[in-house]
Amino acid sequence: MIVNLLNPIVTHTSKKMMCDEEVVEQYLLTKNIHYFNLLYDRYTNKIYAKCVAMLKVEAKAEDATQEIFIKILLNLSKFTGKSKFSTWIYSITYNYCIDVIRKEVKENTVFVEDQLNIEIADDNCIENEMLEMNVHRLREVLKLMQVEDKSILLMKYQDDMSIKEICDVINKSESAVKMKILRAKERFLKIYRMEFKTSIQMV
Amino acid sequence: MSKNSFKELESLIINDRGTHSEVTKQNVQSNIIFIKFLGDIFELYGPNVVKVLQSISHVNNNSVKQNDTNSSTNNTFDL
Repeated sequence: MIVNLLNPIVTHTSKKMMCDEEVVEQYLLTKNIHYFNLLYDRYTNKIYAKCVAMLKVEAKAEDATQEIFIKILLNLSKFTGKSKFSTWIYSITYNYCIDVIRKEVKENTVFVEDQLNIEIADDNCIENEMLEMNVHRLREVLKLMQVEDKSILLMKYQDDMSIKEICDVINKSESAVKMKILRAKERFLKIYRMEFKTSIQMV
Repeated sequence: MSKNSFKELESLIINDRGTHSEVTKQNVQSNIIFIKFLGDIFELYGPNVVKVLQSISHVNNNSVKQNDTNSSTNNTFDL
């Protein structure tokens, strides 16, 4: 009982598994560090993985994870519950990483013209190719992609975000998001071809 | 379930992370405690600091006004 009084989260967790929104609410009410630990344990690895995919260097990603968590905690009161908590923190993560990369003077990416000349007959064909690709190859291609393309592909295929959720994160219309996804996939394919000299099966 | 190389990449990165997670957690916690401490200090002494600044500005304004009146009187003497 004494333990429970000292650590209120024990009583909550013994009753049920708290959802993110409840944890946030409790943290804002009590400022108890145990609630922060819960959120941290749930999301630290996911955020770190996104930072590595975006920033390429593990040490930078670790620093970014730290900064992102501080940002999340300082802005927790601004979380309105309009979107899922995970969507909200992923949007902070992507926007933070995009800002970091933009601040860097020169980005080591392959230049891809806006007008793509690849003839893509079947969008599903590229999607299947991407999802079944060797992980190490995927990592190399992502390293060479522009940050906006990379983030939109991660949102769609790693976080399983819906088009609506992606719209909320990047503040664009549904049609603009769909177009951005398509363009990102085309650029992905182009870089993949250039790097690995393979031809993706075209329909 | 069909393969998703994006999710595989995520798990691969997480597995390679090792024990850095705990270090980062402690860093975040200490940062939060420090920010909280600064907030408490501001809450405690902020109003007093504002009062002191206001009183200083009042004193300065008064002295400026006095200087102005002195100079204007001096000017009349000169005239």
